[in-house]
Amino acid sequence: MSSGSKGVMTPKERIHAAARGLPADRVPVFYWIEAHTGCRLMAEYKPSGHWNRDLLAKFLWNRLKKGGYMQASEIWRFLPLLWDIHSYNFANAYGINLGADMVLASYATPSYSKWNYKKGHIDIVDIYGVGRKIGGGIYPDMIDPPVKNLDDLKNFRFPDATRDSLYNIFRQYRKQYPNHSIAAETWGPHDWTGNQMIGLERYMTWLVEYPDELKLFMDRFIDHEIEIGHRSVAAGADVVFIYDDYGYNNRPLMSMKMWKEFMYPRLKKQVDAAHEDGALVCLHSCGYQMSFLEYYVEMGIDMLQSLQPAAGNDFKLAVDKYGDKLCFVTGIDIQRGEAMTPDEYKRDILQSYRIGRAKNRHILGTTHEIQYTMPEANMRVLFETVRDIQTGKYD
Amino acid sequence: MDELKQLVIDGKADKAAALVAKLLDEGKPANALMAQALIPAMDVVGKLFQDGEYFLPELLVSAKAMQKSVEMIKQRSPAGSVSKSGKAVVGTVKGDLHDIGKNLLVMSLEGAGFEVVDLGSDVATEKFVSALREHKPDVIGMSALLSTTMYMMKDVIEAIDKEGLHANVKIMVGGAPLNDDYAKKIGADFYGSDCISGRDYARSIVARKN
Repeated sequence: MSSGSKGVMTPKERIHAAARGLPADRVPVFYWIEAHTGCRLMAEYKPSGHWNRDLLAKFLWNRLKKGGYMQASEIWRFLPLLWDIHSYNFANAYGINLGADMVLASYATPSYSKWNYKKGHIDIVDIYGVGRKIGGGIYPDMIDPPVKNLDDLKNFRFPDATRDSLYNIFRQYRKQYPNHSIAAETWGPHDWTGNQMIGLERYMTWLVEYPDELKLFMDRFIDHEIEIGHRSVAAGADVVFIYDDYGYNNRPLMSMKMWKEFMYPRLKKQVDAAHEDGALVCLHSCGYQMSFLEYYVEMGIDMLQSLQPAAGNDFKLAVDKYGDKLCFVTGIDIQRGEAMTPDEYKRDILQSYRIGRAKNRHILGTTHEIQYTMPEANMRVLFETVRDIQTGKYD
Repeated sequence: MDELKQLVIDGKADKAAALVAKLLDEGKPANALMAQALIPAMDVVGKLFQDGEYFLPELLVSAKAMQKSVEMIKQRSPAGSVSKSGKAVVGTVKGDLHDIGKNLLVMSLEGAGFEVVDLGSDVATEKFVSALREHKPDVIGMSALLSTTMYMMKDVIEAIDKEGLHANVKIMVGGAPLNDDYAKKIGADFYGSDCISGRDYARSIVARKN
């Protein structure tokens, strides 16, 4: 990774060099940290340096732990998330304390238009009208999608994305982290529409039964997301981060023919719009990705985040075939990593680092959000191994 | 029968249900519709899915056609006129509200003629255990999408073992963060990488019993 590079680069320069296949002073790093994990890390691994955040993190983590994690009452499972959206994504920003070069942030925080706590249960409606609940878990999962029929599909009004204050997080981050890469969350044509607004089963059947109506809805959604990306970049983001999970275990969720018909043109439109704004594009896509890589390259995506080994992806093969055209943000396996011994985990991260360094286009990144369930020894070995890589120990 | 089978394979739910009604009116026994058209149709769909020709959208529209057809049979036939090939209890573990994997398994098992007790999502350990006692299924299927919730499967299996119920039921687990090693580690009998492999395992268990 360091061949031909001179001097110390800023984190942002490092990310942009990797995205463009240029030599960097070291491999850039990206940590994606879930809110409960953020509390745990700040409480037990490394304080953030902000006494008030550290105190709150410790308090929330201890309440969750004392309550038996998933057995804890809903409010204690929910509060770290609420804190995260009301505090400009503290958990991802904390990644910078751990050595990350890029930080991920979402517009429209706080994004829950209303939430109620009644008799120990929390009901939430987000700004898209998606009804959510915490239930027995730790996430506000969709239970009531706003689009239930073709009339809803046709008439749905997306929330106003033009309000300037929605993008304060990027201004704040740019001021706070002037030399880091700031990635702005947006959504691709498939995931938010299907998983959140329509409901996956209904959406999947509509792909077959009502393709034209669905395409019109997606078109409107993509224009909305392009507006968000555009305004996020204007407010300080330098990367447009598009979520869209196209993969299943060992195969795509839908046929490539269907993907090319529904997703490709809309995703390309988003990519082109971000590039026109001068931003890099990072696509996050879970599950099996190998079938999509040539199309990501074709449409000009700069970075692909995840490439989870557990879903059947082959990082070495991907680097061999596309490593001179597409930057992979991967290598810290969150799914399998929890079950590995610390030594195995260290070896796995180092192996990924060595695969990625064969070409310049690699950002050593987590394959998903780091979860609080990661064993403590694995958590420590993760950060220590990456830190040793950053200091050149394995060059 | 061939036409009905093809309608299910093609995912034409309304047409399939209408044809079921017509065939029942003509005196075809419900069991014959299941055995000669609907179950074989879902077998073809499962094969197409495993061969990579069908994906989730096609699988779901076919399952919907199967469900509508079965509903029509239930509406028009006396209870008990369709024999069941086996019984399954299925649910998504506590903390997990993601139910598409579980729903796909339910559809696949129903498509194979199973009686399925669907416990829904975010199901507490005690509910799985009491459902086993009450329904005495051949198999129990648990699903989890999240790596934080898959640990609940271990709790359920331990509770089933503790209550001495494991000897009479096979435990299947599935979901994105799982794999065969994890399934073995927590004491599950089978890890299903998709709903079709789960269905095939459940069938094999019933076949062994018979």
